[in-house]
Amino acid sequence: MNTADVDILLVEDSHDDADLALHALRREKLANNIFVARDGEEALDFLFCRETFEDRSFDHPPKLVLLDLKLPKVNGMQVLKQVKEDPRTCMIPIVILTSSKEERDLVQSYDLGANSYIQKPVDFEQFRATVKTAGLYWLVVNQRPGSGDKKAIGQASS
Amino acid sequence: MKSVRQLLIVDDNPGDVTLAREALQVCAPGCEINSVQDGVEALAFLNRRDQYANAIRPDLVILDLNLPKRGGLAVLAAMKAGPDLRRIPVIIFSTSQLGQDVARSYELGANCYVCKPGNLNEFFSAMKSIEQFWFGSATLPPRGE
Amino acid sequence: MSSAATPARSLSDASKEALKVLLVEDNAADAELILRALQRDGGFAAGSKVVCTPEEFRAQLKAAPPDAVLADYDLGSWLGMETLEILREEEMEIPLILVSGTVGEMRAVDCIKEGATDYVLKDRLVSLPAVVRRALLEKSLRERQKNAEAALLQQQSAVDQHAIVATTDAHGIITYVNDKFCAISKYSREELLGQTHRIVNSGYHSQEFFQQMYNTITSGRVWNGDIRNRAKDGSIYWVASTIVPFVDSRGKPTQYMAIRTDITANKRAEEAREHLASIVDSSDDAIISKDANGTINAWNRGAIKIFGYSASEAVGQPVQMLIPPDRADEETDIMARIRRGESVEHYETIRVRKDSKSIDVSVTISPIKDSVGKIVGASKIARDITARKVNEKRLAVQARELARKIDELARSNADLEQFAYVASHDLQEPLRMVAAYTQLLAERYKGKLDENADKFIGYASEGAHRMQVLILDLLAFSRVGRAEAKYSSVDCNAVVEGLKQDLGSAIAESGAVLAHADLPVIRADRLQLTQVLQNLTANAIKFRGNQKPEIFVGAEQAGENWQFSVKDNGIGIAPEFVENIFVVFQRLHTRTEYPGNGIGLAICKKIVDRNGGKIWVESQPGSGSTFKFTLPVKPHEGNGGPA
Repeated sequence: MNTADVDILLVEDSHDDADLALHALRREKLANNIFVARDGEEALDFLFCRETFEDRSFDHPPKLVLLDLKLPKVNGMQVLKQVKEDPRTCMIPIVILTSSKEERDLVQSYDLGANSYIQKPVDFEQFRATVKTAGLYWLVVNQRPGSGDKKAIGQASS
Repeated sequence: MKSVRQLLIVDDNPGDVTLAREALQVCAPGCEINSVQDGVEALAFLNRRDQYANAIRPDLVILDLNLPKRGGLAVLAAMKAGPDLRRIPVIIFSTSQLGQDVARSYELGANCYVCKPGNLNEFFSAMKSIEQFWFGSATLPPRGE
Repeated sequence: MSSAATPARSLSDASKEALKVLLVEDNAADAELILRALQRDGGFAAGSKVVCTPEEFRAQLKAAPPDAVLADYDLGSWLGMETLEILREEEMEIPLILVSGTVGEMRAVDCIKEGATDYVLKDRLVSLPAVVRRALLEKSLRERQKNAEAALLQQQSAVDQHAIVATTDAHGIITYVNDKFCAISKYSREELLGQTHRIVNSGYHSQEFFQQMYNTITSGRVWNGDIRNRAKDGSIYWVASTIVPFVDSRGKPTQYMAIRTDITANKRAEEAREHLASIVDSSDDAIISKDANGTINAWNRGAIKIFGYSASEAVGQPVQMLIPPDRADEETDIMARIRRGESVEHYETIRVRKDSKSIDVSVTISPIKDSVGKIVGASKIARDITARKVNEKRLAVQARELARKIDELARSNADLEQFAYVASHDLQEPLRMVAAYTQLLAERYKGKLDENADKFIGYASEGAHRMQVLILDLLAFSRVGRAEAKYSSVDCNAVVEGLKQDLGSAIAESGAVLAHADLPVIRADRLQLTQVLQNLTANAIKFRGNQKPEIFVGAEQAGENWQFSVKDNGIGIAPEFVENIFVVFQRLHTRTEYPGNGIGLAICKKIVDRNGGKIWVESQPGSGSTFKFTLPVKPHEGNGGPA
């Protein structure tokens, strides 16, 4: 897959959850290019355009990062902190998508600059619906940094 | 058990505020909406100062950019600088489509940026989307004291 | 034959002449008599030898060649005449005098015919010295003549080496030509003899020229001149000619000899020099030369024109007179460089004319060297650049004017930017409120107030909405050409496919079918191209008849342009309106029939115009329209600003 031009980065170590999310996102045709990172280190390499992701560019960040907290190698909170602290990456919308119900995780995430926080519903259908709503909101309703001027065209009618 | 949703709208245009209320009336009838008209008021409300001593911290702030006295970006910067206000999600809600406004907002820590649609139907639709996500899918941070 | 002999003494001085004689005589007494006749009576100091056999004769001939051979006619076993044969065999031309008593007169004459020089009767020996003398004289005369002839031939051959020689008779008919004449005229001797010199006439010289020559030589005078002739193969040669008439005793020419030298090479060199000289002279530039001291020694027509001095006024003057006093050291600097063998090229400076006016000139000065390479002066070419300087000033003024206008344009553009920003922000805000609330009113209170209220609110709402659209359209129109066009490779297929998304709701609503041919990838501004195609497609959908709109986008290359077409099956346009529709806000229908401001096509036209293309429509009412526009295959990139 072409990792240079990715719409959504899904950082999820659970295959089931990843599949469900992918299914929901693809069904809504919200994104063409979704990359799944299985651990925090891979996610960081991806976002910082290094190691196996050297062909990626800081000029083409993903439009949305869905980030689980419980990850092998480097956990989600670390990923969040590093991404939000670096001026090259701090503007990428990161939505925490976690099964954690810990208030501590909730608070810390928002404190570290997470754009939003979603607790994964246990129910499959609800999970799917939640991912769909999130995808729609962050990819369609939300204005991403660097996308503003493109709205210029299409305004004029007849 | 969720307590009543608290929403703060910061917008100097009462027309827009009313429209927002009308829109949210439909989709989030139980939501409590407060509004202030300028940046100074906004920070006073958030910091519970002066006449806002008894104000409840909002769960979500919808913030316009074009405000008198203190502009939206200044409010945003002040919020994200303070330890207790910074975790409140801020949605920039502005007619501006300028790339530099969007970029600057994100730089200063806005959670997201929604363009205020010019068309009534689209306005209502945008408000509904905001409500659906933030009050539906997302988990909002606990209101600090 | 011996003539009435006078004693030999009258022919010579008293000194005895040395004489070597070879006597062929078999009779000794006779031999004695003969010798005595020569020595004693003849006054010859004769050295002699006597032989009597052929072998002796031959040997003696070779050992000591005599001046004369005296031979008896009858030598017994052989004849005196046989000595002739031996003489001939030995290739010696020695006079043979037969001394005989026996030969008769008839036979004697025959002997002389056969080659004997003379004969003397033995009883007339007294005439022998005279005879011998005569024979020797004749021999010496013959030899002198031969020598003279040989010398003449040698002289002739020497002349032939250098000169082209021809002789003609008194009428000008060629009687002799040397090899050089044949060589240069390329005619053979046979072709020339019997002709006149008209055979090599080149037609160059006038009648008067030949008349003058003819007059000169026929009056017995030598003529000198250069003549241009034509060879047999048509080639041209020049000869310097001297024509010498040979006159008789009355001074009348009997023949003419023409001696010529080939000067073709010289003439060519001369012609080349003249040509160069005419080039120099006819040049508009001043071409001047000066010697090592700076004195002018050549002055062409151009110099007369530029500096105002005639040639006679300028030549001999110091070149300093042309140089204004404040630039006096230029001359010393220039001459220093010239002396070092350097040239000065295209040096722009000021010189002074005869009328004291200053002129701007560009000078090029080069050293002039003699044949051994010594610098003897300098040549100077001066070009009057006054006109050029004037032009340069004018161009500078124009450039400044242009810069000022560009500045003005930039400022006016900045003003327009400002206006657009104001329009987009500040105008839209209040408009947004009016539009939203009139719509809310319409929705909320429909039927709840009186019927007029519905109508009034409706008008207000509609008006507000139209204003919003109008402002957006105006902004789009003004935006065209303000931003710099960004050129890239654009896949037109992708653009049309993208339209299916952008116009998704209109397409879905109308059931429209949007198709396209295999479109090219072209060099264009993607946004602008999309805008044009979107507007045309949106129109095609909007102005539909009763059927589902079918829209087809095509493209083909026409010369240096891409020609796009958007064909629909809509309501079509009457021919009389075909021009109007591209005008801003020009609408052909009422708003109840078809919504819209009428700006879409104006935007298309503006974009197409800015790219150097054309847009037009082919249509008939009721049978759809095909909108066509052209864009250059090679757009004028880097020129993307307001054109």
